[in-house]
Amino acid sequence: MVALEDVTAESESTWSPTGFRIANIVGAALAVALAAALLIASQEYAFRVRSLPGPAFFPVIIGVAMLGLSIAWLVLALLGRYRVDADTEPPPDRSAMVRAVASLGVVTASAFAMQPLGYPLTVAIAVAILTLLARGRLRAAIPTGLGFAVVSFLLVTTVLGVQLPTGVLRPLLVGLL
Amino acid sequence: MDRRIASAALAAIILPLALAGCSSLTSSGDGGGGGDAADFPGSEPITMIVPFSAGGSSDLMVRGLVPFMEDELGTSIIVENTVGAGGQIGLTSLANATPDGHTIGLTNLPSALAYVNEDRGATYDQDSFEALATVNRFRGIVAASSTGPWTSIEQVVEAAQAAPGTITVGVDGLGGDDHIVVTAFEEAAGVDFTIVPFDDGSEKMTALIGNQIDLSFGSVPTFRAQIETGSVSALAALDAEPIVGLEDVPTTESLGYDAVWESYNVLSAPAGLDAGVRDTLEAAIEAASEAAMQDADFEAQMTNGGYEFGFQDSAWTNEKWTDLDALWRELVPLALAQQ
Amino acid sequence: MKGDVDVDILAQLLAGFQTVLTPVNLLFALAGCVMGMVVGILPGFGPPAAMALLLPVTFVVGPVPGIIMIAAILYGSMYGGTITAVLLNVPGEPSSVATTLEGYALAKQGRGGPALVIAAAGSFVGATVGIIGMVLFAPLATAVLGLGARDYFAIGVLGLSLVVGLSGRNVLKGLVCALIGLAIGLVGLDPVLGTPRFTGGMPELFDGIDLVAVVMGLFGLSEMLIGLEQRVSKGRLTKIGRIAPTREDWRRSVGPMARGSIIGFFVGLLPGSPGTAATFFSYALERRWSKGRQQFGRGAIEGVAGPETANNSLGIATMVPMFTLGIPSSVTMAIMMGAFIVHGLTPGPLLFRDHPDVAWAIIASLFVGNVILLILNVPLIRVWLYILKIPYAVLFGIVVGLMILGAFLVTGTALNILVLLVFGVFGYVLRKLDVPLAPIALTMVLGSILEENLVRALLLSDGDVTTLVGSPFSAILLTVAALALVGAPLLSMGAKRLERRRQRIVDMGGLPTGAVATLDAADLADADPSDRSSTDRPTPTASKGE
Repeated sequence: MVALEDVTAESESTWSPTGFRIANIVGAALAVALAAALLIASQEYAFRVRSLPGPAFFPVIIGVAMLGLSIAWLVLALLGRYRVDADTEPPPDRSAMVRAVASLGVVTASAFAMQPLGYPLTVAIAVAILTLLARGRLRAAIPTGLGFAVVSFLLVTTVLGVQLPTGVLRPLLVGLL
Repeated sequence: MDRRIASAALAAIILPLALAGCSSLTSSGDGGGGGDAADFPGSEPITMIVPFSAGGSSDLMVRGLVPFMEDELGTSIIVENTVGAGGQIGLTSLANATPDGHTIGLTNLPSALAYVNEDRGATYDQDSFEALATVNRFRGIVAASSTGPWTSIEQVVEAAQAAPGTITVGVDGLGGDDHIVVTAFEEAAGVDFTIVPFDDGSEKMTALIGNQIDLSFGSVPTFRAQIETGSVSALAALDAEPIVGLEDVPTTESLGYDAVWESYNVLSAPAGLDAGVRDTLEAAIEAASEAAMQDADFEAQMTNGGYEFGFQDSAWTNEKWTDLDALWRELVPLALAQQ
Repeated sequence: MKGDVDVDILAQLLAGFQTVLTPVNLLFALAGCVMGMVVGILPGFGPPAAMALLLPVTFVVGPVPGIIMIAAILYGSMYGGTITAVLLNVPGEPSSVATTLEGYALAKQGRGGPALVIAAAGSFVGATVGIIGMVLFAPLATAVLGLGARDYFAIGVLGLSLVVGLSGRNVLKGLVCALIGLAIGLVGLDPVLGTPRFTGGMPELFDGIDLVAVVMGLFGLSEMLIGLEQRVSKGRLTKIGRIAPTREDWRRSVGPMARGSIIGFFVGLLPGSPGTAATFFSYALERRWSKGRQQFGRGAIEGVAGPETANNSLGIATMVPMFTLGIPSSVTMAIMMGAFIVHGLTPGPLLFRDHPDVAWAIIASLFVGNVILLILNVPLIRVWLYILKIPYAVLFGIVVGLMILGAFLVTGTALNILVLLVFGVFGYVLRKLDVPLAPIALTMVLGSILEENLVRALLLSDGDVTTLVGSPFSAILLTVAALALVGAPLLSMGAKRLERRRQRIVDMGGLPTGAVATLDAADLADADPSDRSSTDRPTPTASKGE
């Protein structure tokens, strides 16, 4: 009984047929654009070098195949041939979208903060905010962020012996290295 | 005997943790050193950038030498493997580091010379670094499969002259160290090989032993296991003098081909280093090298690994770098034009 | 060495076991296994890095305990990698992707326990078969030397033919996806001229886009983002459920394990072959032919048993070229070879002649280490399953944090965090559009193999295209690939018709979907009190997840 529950499928909303159709059209159009971009970018390289395939040989083959197949996808999407079934993920709802985009912002910021702020500080803040974004409470988010930062930093630097950036905490942490 | 191993095992597990604990207690108070030569290095640790992956021949050499350098300098040295793009990532970060002596790194020759190839877009050259010392050299050979048709290099050269392009030579990536030496050999012998690029050394070795390619140029340690096993034979030493352990193999110089395999482990700092700090580091490397050679374990590691460990000072290194730089500027365009 | 095989080998192997079963060597094997599991659980930090960092320890303790420990890290990491793959859908490397496909589906149904037990058992079986193969068929490695670039090209093409099987109901979308995977592999230095291609001038991309960051993003990050849509803030699973697999599970896993271990062994023998392909070969094979094929995509135990077994058998088989020929067939093996060489030992036939005690002790240790891992793993599964009880908010923070750490550790640059991000978004969009992701994980490793070997084959044949079918091996493989490409759509059409018929029956008399939803809600409400207590102290369990 418990065996069949699937929490991710629990969201109340489902795709409307038009919604899914539009999503597929947009997706297919993006794939067409990607294929076109690949083909255009390949123009910079040689297709053949003497009797050999050049740097553009594989990109062009892949680009042409991708273009053809994604146009086929686009046509089928325009015809409305893609139907929602039991295995289809539900459409993103607004609140989840906002949270997802904010989470991605946190990940991006952490990439840029890694060197100046150092790993422990960056990750403590990032993990705490991510926990909040996933509807966690502040009193859960703060220990999660701090706990994760401390445990992972110690694990990686002492047990695995790999250096992580210490950033602004360098004077404090330098002895640990 | 067993007890010794057991205690070593215990030490291996406990030591890192204990050290981490102790050092955090002892050095938590100080604020860090400066660029002043008089009080260099102070208690601030030194970072050693190794632009190659951990466990490789350069990395193992550096990690073996570091404890002796720490003894000389009286501070800890942190080895950082910053890998990627054949060393270019690590060299870029070394070149861009603050030249206060607290960041040094490995600038192997000739692999650091990849900046000669403009396609690589390297943002550094010889002037971006202050060479400190050379600590090791690898020699190289031309090798062929023992089950293949080739028993001497003259035979290969004859065949290549008779039918240009029929002899295939495997290289680790185009424009790489071995490709350039192959080009030098082609120029010297007046032949034209077909260059077959491989992604990594093991695929190349498999192809060589399996007679998929005719020749492979490389450093002695890369072929050692296969030569001992008898699956690969050395056709020529890419050197002026016979190589220790391979004395029967004719040298390219004795055969009249001007192609020498020169590969060095060089330690450098970013350019702009205070001369006093440079001298301190150079002297420390010299003293550490001498101490290391007295150490039986380190010596065994060098001998078994096929290293030719030995100290050369910064003046020698600079001159070698300048020479190789000029040679590379001549050979790299030739190597790449072939394709 | 070949003449007096039977008696000699057995005696030497027994002597090897005697050496391994001393306290010191067992201690090092255990240390290596634990280290390996930690490395496996941490996405991004691969076994080569850990092995290399422990290399200096071997100088101190001598070759036998040192190499035993280093080898244990390699196969220990495979056991560890399964845990995040099955429970969180975060594969630590491309070769774990095949396991996530069915493993995670099982975990979502509360069958994570049986999936992990079967995975551990499969790993053990795979390793054991690999070791037996290594002892008995080591000379096979010599046959591998006869394979050239065209043969590897043919292996790559055969790998491509699996895409159709991996695409499930959306073959067209799956093919688009496969081409995207191939396109990812194009970034880096091109194999013909060695010039940077699609790198935007960034040297960080010269070696290509890092595949570990890509799979973490595509599968792991996108899954975490989708999880944000759920309304419940509790743990994803309310009950740990049964851990032991049922008799039925075991029965269904025997065949996949047998096939998987053989596939893994043969692919592992080929230096430079795509190890990831072995797991997908096994997955595709089971998906098409096993008895439980209807359940694929919704949690089929065969899809865990096969790929896991193949992966571990492959791990052992990659050691064969090193032991028999002295050729390290991967980065990991190059480090192991280094461990031999620093002690003045030369891997290869000479090792068996000059130091048979060392060689056989290490081979014996592989088996002993896998026994240790099995004993270590099965009781721990209960602990790992508590990951699923962590409130989603905390789990989200920790898992995304782990992925940031993992991406950073791959090369020590923040660039891979952005790669993780880009592919996380990409995976999210593709999932929403019903595009199957598995083909990307396969084709992104195949792209460079296809291209490099095609170029190499043409260089060696002076541009003659017929060289590609010039060896019996390549001709046979290309024919099989062609048949698979033509045959698979026909078969899938038949399957679709069957499926539709089944669906009609379900629609008429089967479970109304509403009933299932009510059941779920009731279960959740039921579990509320126990869950609230776990919200208050999330970190102790959480930190174990690292």
